[in-house]
Amino acid sequence: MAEQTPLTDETRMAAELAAFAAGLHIDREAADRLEAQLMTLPLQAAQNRPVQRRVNWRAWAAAAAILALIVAAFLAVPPLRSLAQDLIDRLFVHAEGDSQSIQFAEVDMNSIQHLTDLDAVDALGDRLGFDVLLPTYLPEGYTFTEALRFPYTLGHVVSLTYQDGNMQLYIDQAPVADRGGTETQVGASAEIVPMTVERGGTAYSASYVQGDWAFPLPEGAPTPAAGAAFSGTGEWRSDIPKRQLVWVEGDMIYQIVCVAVTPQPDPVLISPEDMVRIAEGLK
Amino acid sequence: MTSTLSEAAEASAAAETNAAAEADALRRAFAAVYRQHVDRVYRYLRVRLDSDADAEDLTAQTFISALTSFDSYRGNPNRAANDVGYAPWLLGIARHKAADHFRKRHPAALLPADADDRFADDAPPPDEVVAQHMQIERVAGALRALAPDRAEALALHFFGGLTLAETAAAMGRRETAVRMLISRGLADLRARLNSGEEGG
Repeated sequence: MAEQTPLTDETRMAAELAAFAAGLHIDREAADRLEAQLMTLPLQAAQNRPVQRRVNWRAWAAAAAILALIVAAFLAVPPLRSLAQDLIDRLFVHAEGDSQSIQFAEVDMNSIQHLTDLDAVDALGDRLGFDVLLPTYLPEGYTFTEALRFPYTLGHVVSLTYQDGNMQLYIDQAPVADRGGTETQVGASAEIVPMTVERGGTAYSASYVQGDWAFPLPEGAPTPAAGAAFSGTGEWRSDIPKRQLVWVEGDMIYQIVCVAVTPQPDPVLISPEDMVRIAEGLK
Repeated sequence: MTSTLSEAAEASAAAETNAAAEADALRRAFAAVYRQHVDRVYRYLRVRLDSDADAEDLTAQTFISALTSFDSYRGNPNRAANDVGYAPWLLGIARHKAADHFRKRHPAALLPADADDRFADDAPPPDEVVAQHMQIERVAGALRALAPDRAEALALHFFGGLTLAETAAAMGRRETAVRMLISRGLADLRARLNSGEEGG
């Protein structure tokens, strides 16, 4: 390659490309400067800093319409508002207690892209740099409603939405690096169930949990607008009809969520075993 | 009470000492990973981007992002169980940094209009440094003119140093599909480079 002679075959091209790549090195001074910088940056995990949490935008988008109803059905006075805790994170870990301060950043709701055509969803993956997986198995009754692509500032997340009457199923897919953060906290009393998702001949460790954080609002306080910044003290409630399964494959994180849209007695949630089946059927 | 307070203070100091020691150990471990992989991350970014400065900048961003999640990634049971190294993880971060870079700053840079002109430029290099710069521009320009998937597979495999299996995992493709992308990508690249030489 150095002499720019005509290239004749694939093998030679591969060898020359490899040799050319091996000759590329970052400038040593730049590398040393970066190393020095890295050694002085704060270590979030080591210093046990509180994790900056972001809102579950999809839940946040839908929350304004449905939260009051969830509150009415599942929680006593004072009125409580339930939001999904999201997502930046990879697997569930217990918080120190069932009550903790949580902040949600403001979200530009207009920046969320809605797709109702599965072909468009498939093409979306090409632009985002990862393949959007579609389920080959769904529990009976669930049909595709839309896919949401969340804005860059919140990571390249694609969320497939399916619905069966009052029940919704979300399949979220995102690069781990885009989500940032470290882990999804659940209440100290939450039962985190280790599961296994087998895909492509590989067994992946997954975590399952039921419940959600609920947020009490002062008496008479209006429900914040969808996407508005919010902070408050969350209370973990394992009786909230929401089930989540999360696992990591390579640099991608996947999350399957089953939740009741509106409060109804005895909601028919998807079983953990069926959630695993959905996960294993993603192609 | 004095004794209790003193013991509490000592315990607090010990905890701080332990935390500092853990942080120091984490930094040292990350520094080793950095030294081992910085060139491969840079190579991948350099061949995907327009300039040395952008490649260095995104290399820095990649490792800064990696540092924030290094502890959790290191302890990830999937990684340990499957004996996955750090290269696929770092290249995964680098891929997204590069994609972000294009989206935010150079929306047309994925397929630069002047790519063919760039690798066709065969003006004689005045010295070795310039010659190397022209070579990377020539190869990078040709690579960027390929179909995106083929270019990405070549960049991850040859410049990022990932195995075929790791490249397949990074791209969310089957290994056989990546093998095909690389084969076709090499053929396309060879044709473009040779075409550039003949056309110069």
